[in-house]
Amino acid sequence: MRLVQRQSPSPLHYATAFLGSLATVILIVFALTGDLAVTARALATVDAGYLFRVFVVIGVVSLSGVVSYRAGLWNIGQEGQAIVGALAAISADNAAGAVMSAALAAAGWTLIPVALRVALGVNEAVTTFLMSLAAVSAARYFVEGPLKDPAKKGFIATVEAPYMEPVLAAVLLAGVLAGVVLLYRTRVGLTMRLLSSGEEVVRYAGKQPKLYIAATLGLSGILAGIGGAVEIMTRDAGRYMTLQQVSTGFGLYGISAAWLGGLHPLGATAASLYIAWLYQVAVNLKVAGLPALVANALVGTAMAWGLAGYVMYKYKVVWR
Amino acid sequence: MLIRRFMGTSRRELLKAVAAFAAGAVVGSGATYVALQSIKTAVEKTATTTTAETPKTAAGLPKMKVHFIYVGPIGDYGWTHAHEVGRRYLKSMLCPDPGKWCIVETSYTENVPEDQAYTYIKRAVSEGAHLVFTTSYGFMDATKKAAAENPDRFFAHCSGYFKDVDEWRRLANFAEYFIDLYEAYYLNGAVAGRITKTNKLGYVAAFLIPEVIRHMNAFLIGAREANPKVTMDVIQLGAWYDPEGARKAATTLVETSGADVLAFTEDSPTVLQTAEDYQKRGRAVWSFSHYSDMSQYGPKAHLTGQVVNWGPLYVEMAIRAYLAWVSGMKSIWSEWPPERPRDYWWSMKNAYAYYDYGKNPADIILPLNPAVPAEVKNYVEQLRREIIEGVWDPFTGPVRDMKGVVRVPERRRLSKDELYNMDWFVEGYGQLPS
Repeated sequence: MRLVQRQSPSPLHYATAFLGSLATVILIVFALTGDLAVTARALATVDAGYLFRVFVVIGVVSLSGVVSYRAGLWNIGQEGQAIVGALAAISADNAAGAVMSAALAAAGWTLIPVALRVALGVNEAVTTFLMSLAAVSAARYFVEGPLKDPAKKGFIATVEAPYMEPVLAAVLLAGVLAGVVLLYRTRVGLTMRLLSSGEEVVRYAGKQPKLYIAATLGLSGILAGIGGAVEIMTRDAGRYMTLQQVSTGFGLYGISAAWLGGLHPLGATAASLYIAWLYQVAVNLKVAGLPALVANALVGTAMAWGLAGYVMYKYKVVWR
Repeated sequence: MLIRRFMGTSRRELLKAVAAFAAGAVVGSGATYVALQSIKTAVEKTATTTTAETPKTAAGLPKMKVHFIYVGPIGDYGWTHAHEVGRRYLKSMLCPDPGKWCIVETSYTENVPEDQAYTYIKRAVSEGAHLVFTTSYGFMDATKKAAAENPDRFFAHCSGYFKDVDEWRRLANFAEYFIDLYEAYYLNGAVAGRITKTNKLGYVAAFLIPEVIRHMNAFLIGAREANPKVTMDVIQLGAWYDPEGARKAATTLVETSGADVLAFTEDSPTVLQTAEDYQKRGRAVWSFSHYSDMSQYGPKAHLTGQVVNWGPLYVEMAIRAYLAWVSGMKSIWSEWPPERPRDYWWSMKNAYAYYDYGKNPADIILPLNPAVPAEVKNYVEQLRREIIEGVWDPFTGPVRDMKGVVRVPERRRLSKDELYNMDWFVEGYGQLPS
């Protein structure tokens, strides 16, 4: 068996990959439950409000991934940036203010890896990852100190973040999505993407690569921060942070969605919806008493299929 | 390599690909959803709420569905494991034989993130649960919200509180519950105070939250009553489960502070294992069990320890909910226990004097290590009896804090709220985390 490059790429294979992923999910769920009726219930039961909430959060974070990876920059600190965004949201009075302060706080937070990259050439993958770990400690400091809610009777938890209507969250996602799509139609957006071809190319195009690196990473951080703020504000109950639960894991799902969606804003958004559905399936399986780590496994298989889709899109499989 | 190539594909091709994926995703998921929905409606059994529609036992008793929502994995050998043991106890008491005598059907969901609790509770209710137990502080608001939305079901939340009397009155189908271990820590402290040679104790604390501060204080009071020369150093872990950190902390307490008895509040047996390692090298360092019997991890170093059995409390609450549900008389649930209705706060006082720890809600593990002299054993046993009978409490005044200020005046004890919110430290600490 070998792979031969296609004369013209075949986009249809992304749909094939999607169906393959779907089939795998159904098979896994069936293998776990061993019962057709239970499988159907696990796949078909959807809590629309929950699905939507997860979709919007992953959607916003996935755009953070798109902005960064399309520029060939490796911001993998979405989890930490989301935590900082959530902290900013907790300290805000209303949803609009929360989004603004989350954006500012995340921008400030991302400034450290940006400065290290621009000034000293330190790899941003390392710094953003380490900043994620730092974010957990920073968040714990705020939970125990400045943001602690004295009304919580000796329990250590922050005050509540303002509530964000799902409609507002939807508008926000649409706005961010449109913003990124439009950005990529401008010269600035083009130059950002050009970064993936190397700093020299950008310099040759007459632009300052460092400026664009800073802008791209900053924007990526801001989007992840907004994602974190949206996450905590759209919760049905318990819009506070505790010492035990600082990280939510949506940062990593956002990164997965970005890659699964072919690093295109629209693709990433569609992939976010798909991952949100996988998340819902995992909830259903857990309620049915099945292993708890299924969600990760399902997203993992989806990633594998996404990769297969890319290979099939580009190459033809020749069997001899 | 792959990524580089991917970046190299032209924009038009990429757009095509993405459009195809997006279209596939939308059409595919839409079609699947519709297809599955129709199957679901065909197979779905509607959730029952009235006793008339519920399956009955041979004796004609309806079965009540009880669902547990856990924050961690049931295999954590700490908090969630203890609740799972409690669920099994409930099952063994109220459903020993599904054919003959069985009035509950239990199920659980593990590893539920705190931010998603509401979704899981809602799912449990739609699956027909009549009584839902949620076992993490972070689940409180979600549980209250579900209780307000489903007045015909019962909800119980572990380790929370009612905001005010209004909320308590409004949520008549909702209860708070907790089993506290401070008395057991006090007894451990008594053993520690008598057994220490260096007069220095060490404490590994996950977080310095009021619950842990209460345990530390009770432990230190017990130790200093038995031996006034004792002081205690504390190291904070910053995590409930961190074996690596716990080992480092325990070693520091032994090597730097000179502690020879180590207590802890975190979810692993690491501190006990570390003490056992010292014992094997010929140095007498002792430790305890926490939450479940960990003596197998350190047979030499294990002095005693505190265990919690949620089972008896779960049986009590489930019977109350069951009777209220079957009879329709909500007061059977809502007006119990008498001292603080719908606010269960159990401890060693709810134990039986002549039972061993296996049947008591909160108790120390007996027998003590054979290395503990009989005189100490009698001393601890005497204190245990007095606590169970209610004639003694570790926080009986006068109790002073670190600055010497009297926090519990003479002839007074602490109320539940005062114990619950404890954020001050008693006399006798050496080094405390800032």
